[in-house]
Amino acid sequence: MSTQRTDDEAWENEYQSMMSLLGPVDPPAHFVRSVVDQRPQWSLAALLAVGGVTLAAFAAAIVVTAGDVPWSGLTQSQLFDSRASVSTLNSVQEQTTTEVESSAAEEGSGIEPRIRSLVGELTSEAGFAELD
Amino acid sequence: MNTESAPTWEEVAETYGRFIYTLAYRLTGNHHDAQDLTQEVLLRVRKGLDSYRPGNFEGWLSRITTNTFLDRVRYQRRRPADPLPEHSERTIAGSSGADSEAAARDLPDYLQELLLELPPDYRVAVVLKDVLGFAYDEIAEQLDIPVGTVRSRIHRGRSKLREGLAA
Repeated sequence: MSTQRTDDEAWENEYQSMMSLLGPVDPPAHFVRSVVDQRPQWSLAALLAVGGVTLAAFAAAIVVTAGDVPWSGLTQSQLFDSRASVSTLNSVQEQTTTEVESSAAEEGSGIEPRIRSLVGELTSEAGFAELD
Repeated sequence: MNTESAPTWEEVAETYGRFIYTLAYRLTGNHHDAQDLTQEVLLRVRKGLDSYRPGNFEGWLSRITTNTFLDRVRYQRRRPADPLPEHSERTIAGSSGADSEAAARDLPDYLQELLLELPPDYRVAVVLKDVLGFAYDEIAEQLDIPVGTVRSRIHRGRSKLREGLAA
């Protein structure tokens, strides 16, 4: 029993002296540099730079679009151009509709009598009563 | 241990970087994993500095480091495709016939190798107590476990190390 205790104490002392060999460990130099590069100030500086650019762009956009129609995304000249285009398209559409209608009327007036005569010929040949 | 108010992140990186890295290296056993772990710890420190309450700062850092390490171990266990940290840089101690100078030079590496063979929970407890010198109650607070559990883990960890050294 006493021998066991002595062994344990000897082991304990030996163990502590061995573990004391596990001292501090220095990280590699490149790792230290990479950590330093990640400093919050750098992030803050980047954030401020990005924020500054964004604000400048926003301010420039306000100046450029002043007096225009912001919600449409168009300048005044673009808006007038687009209105003119719509007006042109409307007139072209009206003209086209009129032409189509008149063309259809002309074709209909010529075709219907011709069909009627053909049907009359066929029905009389077949011995049926003539259709209305 | 320090009981001052919280330093800035730069002070943590400069003053306590070596402390964090030493703990990370002793837990992982190689520089590659130690660097990854230290990076993650510093990120967590950056996020958590605002919520730090003045007290044992090294204890707080140690708590973050060990929690991060144990989180990684659990994550790797859930994903067996990812190998656990390799002992790529360890050096096996010389044979019993090696001269005493070489044996003394290799002993820390051999001890580090034996530490890596301990279960992670035992390893954390042994490293905090026998390498970094934290008291039992400090370790219990850091790991959020009873002091008795800390004593048990350290005792079992030491026994395994003793077996390894005797082999």
